Amino acid sequence: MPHNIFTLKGVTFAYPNKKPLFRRLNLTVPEGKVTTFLGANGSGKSTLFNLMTKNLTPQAGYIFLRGGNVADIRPADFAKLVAIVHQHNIAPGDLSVRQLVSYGRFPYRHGHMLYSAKDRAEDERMVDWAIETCNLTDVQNGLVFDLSGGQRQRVWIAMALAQGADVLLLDEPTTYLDVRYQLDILHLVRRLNREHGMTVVMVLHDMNQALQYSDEVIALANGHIAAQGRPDDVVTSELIEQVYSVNLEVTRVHDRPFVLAV
Amino acid sequence: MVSTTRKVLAFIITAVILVALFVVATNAGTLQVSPSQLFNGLFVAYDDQVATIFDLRFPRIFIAMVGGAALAVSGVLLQAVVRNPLADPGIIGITSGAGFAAVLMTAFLPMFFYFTPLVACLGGFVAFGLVYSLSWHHGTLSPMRIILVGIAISAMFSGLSSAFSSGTGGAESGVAALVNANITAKTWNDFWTLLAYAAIGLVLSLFTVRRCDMLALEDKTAEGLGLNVSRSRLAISAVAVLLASITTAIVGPISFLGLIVPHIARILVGSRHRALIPYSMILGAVVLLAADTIGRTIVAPFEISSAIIMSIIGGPAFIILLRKARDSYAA
Repeated sequence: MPHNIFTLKGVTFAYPNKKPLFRRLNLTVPEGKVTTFLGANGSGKSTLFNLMTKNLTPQAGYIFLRGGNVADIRPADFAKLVAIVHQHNIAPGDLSVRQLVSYGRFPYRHGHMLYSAKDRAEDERMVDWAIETCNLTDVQNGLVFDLSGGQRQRVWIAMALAQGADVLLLDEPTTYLDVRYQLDILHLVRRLNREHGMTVVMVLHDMNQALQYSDEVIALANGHIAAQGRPDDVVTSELIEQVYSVNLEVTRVHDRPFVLAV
Repeated sequence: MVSTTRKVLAFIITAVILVALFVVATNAGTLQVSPSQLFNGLFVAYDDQVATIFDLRFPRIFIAMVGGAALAVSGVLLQAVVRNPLADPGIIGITSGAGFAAVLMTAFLPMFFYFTPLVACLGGFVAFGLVYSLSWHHGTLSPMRIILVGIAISAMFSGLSSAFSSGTGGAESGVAALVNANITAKTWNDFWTLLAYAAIGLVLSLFTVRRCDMLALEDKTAEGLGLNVSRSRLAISAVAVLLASITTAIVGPISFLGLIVPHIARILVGSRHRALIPYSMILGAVVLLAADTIGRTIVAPFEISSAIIMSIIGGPAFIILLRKARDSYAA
């Protein structure tokens, strides 16, 4: 039986002074795969993401990372297990790519004023690997400020990789990018899963990219799981109607379901 | 990115300027001694002139240097906490809160003068707490709101201080000396008090460098890297308030130094706090010592307080920074 990386049990969550978005939600996210959350605006996909990243805390219920309750995992330890790339990011204008990527080592150096040559070598090795994996070697000494949006997104992913976690969470990593960079990021994500065995969980806006690049999709509608499974098994016109309230035709492209979003 | 060579050079040159300025400040005024006379007077044999300089001029020189370093670092820390390069302990009301608390102590409980620094810190915390909580808007700290609320809080506490100053005997009182931020007539005791508190704050500030770097990122991202963002903000603000308050308690409220020094420092050594904080200490010492020395020589035998000098230079500098703020910080 395949393992689950995240298990949500009876999760209830409401924003202050709002109706609960999730009521006793149960959900499992498989380990070793690319899983994507789909849903309309306000369906709760970003909220679910932020619950899994510990940025939000459920009012009731539990969220487990493998066997451990995430509420009990200290932030620095959580950062060694799970790397997160949020949708919005800012950085000081004068940081180099390499410096920013090395911030990913913070969870290992937290509270230490001095550290050994061995630790330092390990930092360098991880930063090198992250920069190389994200194809940033040529620009590593340049400023983050001077990069294009697509390159900048790769820097944030590289920073997350430097954390040395084997779970990567991405919140709408392709939003604001033009299509060339969107594909660039999605290929990188797939490579991280296939070649480096990372479990990837992401929120995507584009249905077809989600269907094309995910092993598993989780469709959310009004705080409920409308469907979960392989794109092939779950994506139908009925599901699209349930999730997005529009009637769209589903055909097949590259041997995958394809939603004619027009 | 600022190269290492440039950083090292900035440190060395600024340190040399500080030493040179120290020599100039020692000799600025009616009493003048040659370096050899000074050396002899200090370390070899008693010299009347040197003794006078030692008792009158040295304390204020050292106070200016330590106070300048403390205010500059306080500015760096506050800017990291509110993620706004325009934050300054003077502008956002910490100094006037601390100043008002010190004024109240001097006016009502002068026998407990020993506790003035602590009470000033308390005043600084109250002011910062007010600004921080009032600037909270829809779950985030709005950078512009902090400045605006800070100006209002600052004006309120300065007004209260002035009111007390006028109401307790005007220009002659010890209260007035605090309100006007004049380093005149400071003694070695004042210096040791300042140093005792400021040294704690300055050393603690060195332990916050990584956290300050992390706070420059989006909050969620910093949390994802394992930083407890709220707790770090609180701890770093506490150090900043301590530094600004103790300086205010001894020197008086000085505005803009905590703004201008970190800004110049960022240009010279970059925005990473490992270099920024130590460099701001040196540059802060240079700037306040320069302001104090100019203030007491330019219209001798009268004196212009260093706070006034800082305001005259700082006001226009603040406006320039305000206009440039948008393109200097966010990436």
